[in-house]
Amino acid sequence: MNKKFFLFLEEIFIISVFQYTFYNFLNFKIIPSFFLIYLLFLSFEGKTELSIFLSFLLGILNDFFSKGILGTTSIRYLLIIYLSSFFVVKSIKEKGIFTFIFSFLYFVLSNVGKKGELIWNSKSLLKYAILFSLYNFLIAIIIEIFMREIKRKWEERYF
Amino acid sequence: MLWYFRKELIFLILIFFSILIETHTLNRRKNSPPTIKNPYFLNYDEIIEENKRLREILNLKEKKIIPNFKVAEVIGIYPYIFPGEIIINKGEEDGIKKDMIIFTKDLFLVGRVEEVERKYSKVISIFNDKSRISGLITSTREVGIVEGGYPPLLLMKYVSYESKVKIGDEVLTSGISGYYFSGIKIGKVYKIVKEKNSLFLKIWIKPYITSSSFEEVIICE
Repeated sequence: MNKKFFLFLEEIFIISVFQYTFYNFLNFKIIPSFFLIYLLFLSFEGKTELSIFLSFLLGILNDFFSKGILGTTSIRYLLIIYLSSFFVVKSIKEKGIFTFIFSFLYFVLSNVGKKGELIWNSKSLLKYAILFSLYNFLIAIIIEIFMREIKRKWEERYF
Repeated sequence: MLWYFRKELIFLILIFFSILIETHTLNRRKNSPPTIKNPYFLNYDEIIEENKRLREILNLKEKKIIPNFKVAEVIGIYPYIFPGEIIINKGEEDGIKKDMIIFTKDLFLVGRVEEVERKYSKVISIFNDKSRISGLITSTREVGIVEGGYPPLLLMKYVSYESKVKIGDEVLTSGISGYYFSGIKIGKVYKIVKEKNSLFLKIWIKPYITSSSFEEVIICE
């Protein structure tokens, strides 16, 4: 239990470092959301309650890093992760596609004003939403391949 | 029964807490100077930079460039790139009214106040899809409508096909529309598109605010 908990903390620490670096040190216009990818992966694996609970915490952390208003991203993460919890996704291809779809939804959601209107023109929104989703899709695929490779090596060593 | 709906229950409780935190943060940020609890975390460079920016704003008042204005801190931007909505920490209590104009310290147009709450206000920036400004091309003195919603650029419409406008020409507010007075800097002409079967040019403008910081903004009527 303890080992699992520390591994989990380690994962959160690593993605936080990545997210913080992208927000503060790299001059990118569109920043991939490592938090969202992590939450989606948890949700796809069936860890629904944990992913919903973490959506709240990581949303707060994301607002802290991006100097936004605390709570705003939590609401968006919670909505996306709740939706994604209805899907069980196993293969790399599916994970990539679903990450793309939910990242797209997240970006559109973050472009909706308080009265439900879109902040940008739909053409620009589409362009940037696709770019953001593509970043997340690529990162999700890389992470998944990397994780499978580690798992394979670990199984070879111990079994 | 409750166990069956545990996912929905956790979701609703956390949504409720998120909304509470969001509202609390918006209210708390009003007029709250940064408190230094641990001097080891004090970032002097940041304070020097802030001081410099505030001094430049003070100069505007002393030189009577703008006689009456208020300064507010930006506490939220949506989305985080090319923001269409900005939240500032001044509201009804500070005399902020709907349709007041917002500038950066360099006097570049940011947008106008859309909604005023007791302690904070929502600004729609020139990037917002709803933003429509009457713009004037300084070189040709032609007037057109500058539309938002196409980040990182703005689109100027209804300028005649025969116009002599060039890339790099400056665009200011014309003062014709009800919201903005004349002469506020919007941006520079970035690209001119001549479409067949159209009476007007499509002029893309690169707004100045992309190159200016707006951590603090100037509000005036």
